[in-house]
This record gives sequence, structure tokens and C-alpha cells, in this order.
Amino acid sequence: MTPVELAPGVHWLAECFEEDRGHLHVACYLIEAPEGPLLIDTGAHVHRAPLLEAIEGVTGGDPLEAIVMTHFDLPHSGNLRAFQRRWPDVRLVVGSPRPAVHGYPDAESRFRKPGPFEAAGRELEFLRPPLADVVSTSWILDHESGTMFTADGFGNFHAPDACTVVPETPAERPDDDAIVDYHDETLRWLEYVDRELLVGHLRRLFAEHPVDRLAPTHGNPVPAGNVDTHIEVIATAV
Amino acid sequence: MAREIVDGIHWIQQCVDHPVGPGTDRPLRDWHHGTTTVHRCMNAFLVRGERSLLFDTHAPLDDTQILRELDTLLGDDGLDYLALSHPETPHAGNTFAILDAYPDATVVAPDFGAKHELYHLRDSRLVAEGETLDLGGRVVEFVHPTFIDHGIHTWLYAPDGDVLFTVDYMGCHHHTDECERFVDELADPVGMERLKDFHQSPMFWAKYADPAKTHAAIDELTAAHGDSTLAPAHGMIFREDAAHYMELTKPVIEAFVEPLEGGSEA
Repeated sequence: MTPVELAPGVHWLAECFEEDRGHLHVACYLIEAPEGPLLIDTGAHVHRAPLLEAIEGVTGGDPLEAIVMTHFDLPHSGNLRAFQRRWPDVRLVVGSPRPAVHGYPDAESRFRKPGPFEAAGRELEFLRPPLADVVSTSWILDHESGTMFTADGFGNFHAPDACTVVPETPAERPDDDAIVDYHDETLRWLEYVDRELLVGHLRRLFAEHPVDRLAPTHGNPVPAGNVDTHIEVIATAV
Repeated sequence: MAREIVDGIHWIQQCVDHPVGPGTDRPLRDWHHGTTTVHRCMNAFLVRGERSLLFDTHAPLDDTQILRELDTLLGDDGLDYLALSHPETPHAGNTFAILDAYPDATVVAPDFGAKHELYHLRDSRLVAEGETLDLGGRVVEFVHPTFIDHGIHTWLYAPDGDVLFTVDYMGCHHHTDECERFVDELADPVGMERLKDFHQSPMFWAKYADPAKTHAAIDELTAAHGDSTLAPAHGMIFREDAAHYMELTKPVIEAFVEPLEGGSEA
């Protein structure tokens, strides 16, 4: 797996998992931050070896300075303990209010400290996400690159030849069905929402936090120009 | 100590301090009566026929309590099934510790989606909605989970005893002297405030809810289980008036809805 550089120093580690409906990304993201490498989520345990290889390929063997977690669901935290053993001094920062409940009592929780914070010399911010599969999920905004890491939101299934596609234009975005099917399966609570209300909240979030791209865990990156179309498509899953 | 809900079904409650009031982001409510510490909890349930099934595992902040209680309840009998409502840490986080103690137990997980390998569930027995498991003299059914967060999710129903295990629905926090009490034993009744305090977490999506849809789902539940015992994963057991308490969650959900200022931007 070759990392894909989405922005200077922001690398998409795009591992895939084969499902009935095609491939599903199980990604994490590596940022070359001023004080050292910073990892957003840790991916799934089944991808541990290639992820380690990819990380060290970018870092040149330098230790991770920080791991910042969107949440503890296993496709996102599957290598967290292993990476903590690999890099014992790595700082762990989470948006969850009670990391001890998840078995990480020493994690630094930012739940009661909203707003931007620094990790490895990089300004990040946890945001409460409109689209999540479990409570205490956070989206993470990297202010320098304008990249919002959206965890289980804005994902999609994809064909085997689209694993590392980074759509740049509306025409290059995933098929609507691939987006809808993903959200239908992952966010089952969508059956209970008011479509207009959800769309309105999503649009308000991006009005308050303009982005250059979205970086989901389970999908191809979404350039800023495609965000509104993705919102409309996701809404059809309601 | 575990408490028997009905014959052959035991409730094992793991309590955690939950600070409220000054210095926290949780405002004091009337039901707190001035205390600044209440409990939140994770529940596991042991269901027994000739064979045994543990539903959920407690959170991994501690595995000693669940192992101790299982040892007391099972004695020399092994654990036959470890059924997971969903693979989220507070519910499944002690799976490996329990399997270490009971290596012959079969892990049972909901058959939804195709990502089980990512959750170490590839070799589990996967059960579809409506599927039953015969424990020998008692049958349990894996039923549709009405309100969920994580997609790989199941509720459990024990017809013998009429107990519906509602996982993240119908939970509530409790006072520190209310541990292991049934709701009907409380001096302080469970009202809308308590239900709101809890449900704002698992129902984080309710900000965008369409109450007509959630009310319809609650009506279906009360029609089917209005007289059942409700055993949630994060609260106390409702032995009586299930319909009344489920009905209370209608205004709870309505209260969570966040209209956009100035109308919808959609």
C-alpha cells in the first residue's frame, strides 16, 4: 500500500477490506507535523503490517509523536495498543469524554476543552459530527491543510480499481449508490431523521468550518467542490 | 453482586462514578437532589437453561467483577455462549478476558453487514434477526434492535420470563444508593429528566430526528412489549409499566431535536 499525499505532508494510508458490495476503505491518515509524525486513527488490526510499513516509509523510522483518535471503534483503534507498544512515548489524544471506559485511562481527553489544540506542533480541532456510528465520535479538523477527518461519515464502497482514487472534480466522485449503500449500512439511525434537518445541520457545519477536503475512514477523499453533492446524496439514504 | 431478574436470568451491573454539577459539563437536575455524583452503569446478563449465555461483557475499565460474578454463578459449569449486542467497547470490551476464563464458550454476534473480521468476529456464530438459540429448557431470540447506534447490533428476547434486553435504549443513570435496584423499588421515580440525561448520549442523532418516525417505532415496541420486563445495558430493570416508560421516551426524543435557527438551510 503506497500512501497517497492529499496535501503537503498529509498522507492517506488507504487500506481496503473486501465486502459483498465491493471494497471498503479502512484508512488512517499520517501528518508530517512540525514536532514529529502525527497519526489520525490507527486502522484495523488486519492491516497492521502494511500500515506499519507505510508509516515508516513516510517517517523514515522516526517515532510517532502523537496519535489522535476520532473514536475507539475497532476499525479505527485496531492497532492502537500495538502502536503504543511500538512507540511508547507517543501522545494519545481523544475527543471521547471517558477513555477509561474504553480501556485507555491515560489518554488525554479534549472533550471538556473545546476549540483548537496543538498536537505535534499542528493545530487540530475536535468537532461534534452530524454523521457517526457510535456516541463520542469526533471529527478532526486539521487547520493547516483544511482537511476534515470525518471518520464514518462521507464514506462509500468502491470498485477494486478505485482504491487510491482522489476525486478532483464532480465527475470523478463515487457512484451515488456506493455512497447511499454505505451510509444505509453504517448509519442505521438515518431511518429516524428528518432529511431537511440533517442536511441543514451538515451545511451549517461546513459553513462554520470551511474545508479544502474531507478525509473519511471508509471512503475516497472528498474535495471541497464535491461536499454539497455528497450531502445531497447522503440525504437520499434517509 | 448479581441479582436475579426472573428465574434463570441474572443481572450483573458495573457502576462508574458520573460527576454532575459544578466543574462538569453536566448540569444539576432536580432528580439529583443536590448530589454531585451519580452512577452510570454497564450491564451484563446471564441467561440459563441447561446451557448458559452471557449477554454483553461490561466495559474493559475492569474485568474482575464480571469474571468474579460468572465464577459465582456458574461454579464448575462452563459458559456456553458469549453473545454480544454490538462490538462497542462498553458492551464487548471484556470479550477476550472472558474467553480466556471460558475458552469453550461460543461467541455469538449479530449477522449484519460484512465487516465482522475487523471486529475479531470472523469465527463467531453469526445470528440473524429472528434467529433463536435453544439453551435447553429455555429459548432466546435475537430480535430487531429498534434504536441503535453501531450498525452491527442486536437486541435479545427471553420469552420464558418475557424479558426484552434493550441494550442502549431505556437506560438511565442512578443514585449511588440505587445500584442493583429495580425501577419499581425506587423511592424516586424514573421520569423524563433521568431518561433525557442518559439518552442524549446513545441518541446523539436525535438532534435531527423526525418525531413521527420515532413515535411510530415506539408504538410498535409498546404494542409488542408493553408488558415485558425491560433490561437495558445502561440502567435499571423495568419490571412493571414498560409501556409507560417507553411512552416517556417520546417527549425525550422530541426534546433533543435541534431546529435550525431561521428555518432549514436545505
